[in-house]
Amino acid sequence: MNVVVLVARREFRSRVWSKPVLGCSVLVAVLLVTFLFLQAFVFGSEHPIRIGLAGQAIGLAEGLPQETASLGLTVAVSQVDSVADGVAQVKAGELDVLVSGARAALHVTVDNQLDPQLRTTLNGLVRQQVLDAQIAQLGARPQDVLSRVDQAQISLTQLNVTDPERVQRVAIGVVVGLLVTLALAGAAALATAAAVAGRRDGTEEVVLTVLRPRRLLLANLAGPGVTGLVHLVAVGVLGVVVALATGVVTLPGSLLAGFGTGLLWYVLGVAVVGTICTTRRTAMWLLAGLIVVFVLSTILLTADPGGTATAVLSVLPPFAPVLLPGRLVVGVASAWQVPLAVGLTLVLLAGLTAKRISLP
Amino acid sequence: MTDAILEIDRISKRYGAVVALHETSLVTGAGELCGIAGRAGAGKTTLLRICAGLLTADSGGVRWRSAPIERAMLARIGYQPAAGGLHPDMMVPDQLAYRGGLHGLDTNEAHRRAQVWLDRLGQRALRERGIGTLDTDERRIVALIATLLPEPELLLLDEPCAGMSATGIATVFEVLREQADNGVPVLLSSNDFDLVEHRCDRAAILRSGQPIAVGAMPELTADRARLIAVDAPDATPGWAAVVPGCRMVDVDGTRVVLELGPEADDQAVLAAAMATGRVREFTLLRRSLAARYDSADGS
Repeated sequence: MNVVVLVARREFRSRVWSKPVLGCSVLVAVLLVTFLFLQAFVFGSEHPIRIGLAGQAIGLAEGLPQETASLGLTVAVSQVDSVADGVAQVKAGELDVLVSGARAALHVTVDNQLDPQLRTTLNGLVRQQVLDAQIAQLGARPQDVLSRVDQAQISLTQLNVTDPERVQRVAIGVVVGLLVTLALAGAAALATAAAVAGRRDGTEEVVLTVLRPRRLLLANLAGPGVTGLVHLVAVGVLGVVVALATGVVTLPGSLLAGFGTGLLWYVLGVAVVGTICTTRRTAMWLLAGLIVVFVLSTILLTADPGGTATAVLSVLPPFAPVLLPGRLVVGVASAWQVPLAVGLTLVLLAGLTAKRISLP
Repeated sequence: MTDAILEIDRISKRYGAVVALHETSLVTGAGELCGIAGRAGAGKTTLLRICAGLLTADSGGVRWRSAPIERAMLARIGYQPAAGGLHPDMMVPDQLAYRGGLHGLDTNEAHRRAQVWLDRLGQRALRERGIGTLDTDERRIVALIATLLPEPELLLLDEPCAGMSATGIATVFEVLREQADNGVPVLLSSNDFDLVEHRCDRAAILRSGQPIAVGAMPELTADRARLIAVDAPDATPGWAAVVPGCRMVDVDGTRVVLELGPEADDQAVLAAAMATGRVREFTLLRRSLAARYDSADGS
């Protein structure tokens, strides 16, 4: 067997299911899934407004849900026996809104505040009723008049169209960036542990008698790198499945593209990170650097993903692994920026490996 | 000595301002156990690492059978670092197979050879053990087996017996002597001068990167400035002053230790002692390697 493969395989096998690595991955996976479930069932969900209808207002039972739905409002309509009973239910918190009275003079009872959109809807219904009566009084058919009114609309020209899914795309970019950052930090820790243990136990010296330093470096990168990749793929696939299954993400194409480019940048990033990390000191500096890069990247991606500064930073090695996948998902990165960023990262990697010292 | 197989020729190495080795030379022949003795920081590890191709000398060179050591030759060297070179997270058989694999051994063959060695050294039980659970003797023995597994043509061992019991040391040197007898030169380092003196055929004494003495063991331990212990109870103080080149270095009652310069004749000392009356002791003393190391000039 090739010696590089032999050394890399040993490093991989000794770490891939080790307790610290497994523990970190399980923790990240649990946090990710918890976040997605909270987003799906707590933060992102809308409880329907419970509306009770009393008296003549019962006639609104069919039309009211349609009117509110056109404004993006979900309601649950029910009938109550009397106004007094409805008021009691509002006080008890069993109803959010009680609607009573004639259609041309509806009376609304709430515990505290009336949803502005619901107020607009109910006002519209009352005004419509009054308008119908006035038109009928003038001898015209209200349906004909309203039909003509509905046809009269403004014409619209949009100079800057905002992507309605932009927030979702940015969120995907940030989460992918976070996962790549965490995976790189984990790989840095593993590479450092391997380098420190190699010097302490003399195993590095033994291998160097049969392997040139550059090839040993390759083997030492491959072991922790593939370990991190396996865990990143596992956590990422779980995240993709849960995000799509819960409906938190409605853009599967963007999600898969973001995840795929994240994996590519992890592979490049881990080569750089593993080359730098030979001591605990450098690993700590690198970890701090990764956090700074992630925070800055998130700010830039959220505030101005298409800006010049963001575009320039996204092709530079420290920022590319986190920022470029995010910009690709948002759809503001040009295709040529990817090979440029990859090229710059490879140049940095070549410089780092040339300076790497194998023995103390 | 048989023909030199490994020749270390005036090697020098600096780490910044620190001189790790200064023009150190040493030759080792087939069938020889050669020791490098010195305290911490003497340059022993640096010398072995240069021989193993892990470091490059600033000047001088290492030759194997009269030719510079090529990259291909390095794979045929058995190098054991001071730390042992074992992975604490591996089982003993896996570790040995892995080390064999580094030198191109097939896994099955590596396992077979490992089993033979463990059986032979009475360590069969280690097959069920993890490296991290071994005591010092066991770890050193496993490290030695790992080094021997590919059947190297040269053994370079850095502190192979550090921390071992007398039994463990005896086992290690039994194996090393056998390897030497089979024609494999063995170059080992140790900070235990007695170990090198009593177990090795040849030695180099290093101090702060400087070679103090190099040569075959009888030459190193023979008295250049000879010491003689004489107990002449009837003699008057200063009785030995009549012998040219003779100097008294120690007195214990009627027993004195005399140092004889190159021109002094030990028979003249004996005659002078007998001339004083009774002579209860007349002993030619050997100088240990440690004594040579500790003396100011290494003589």
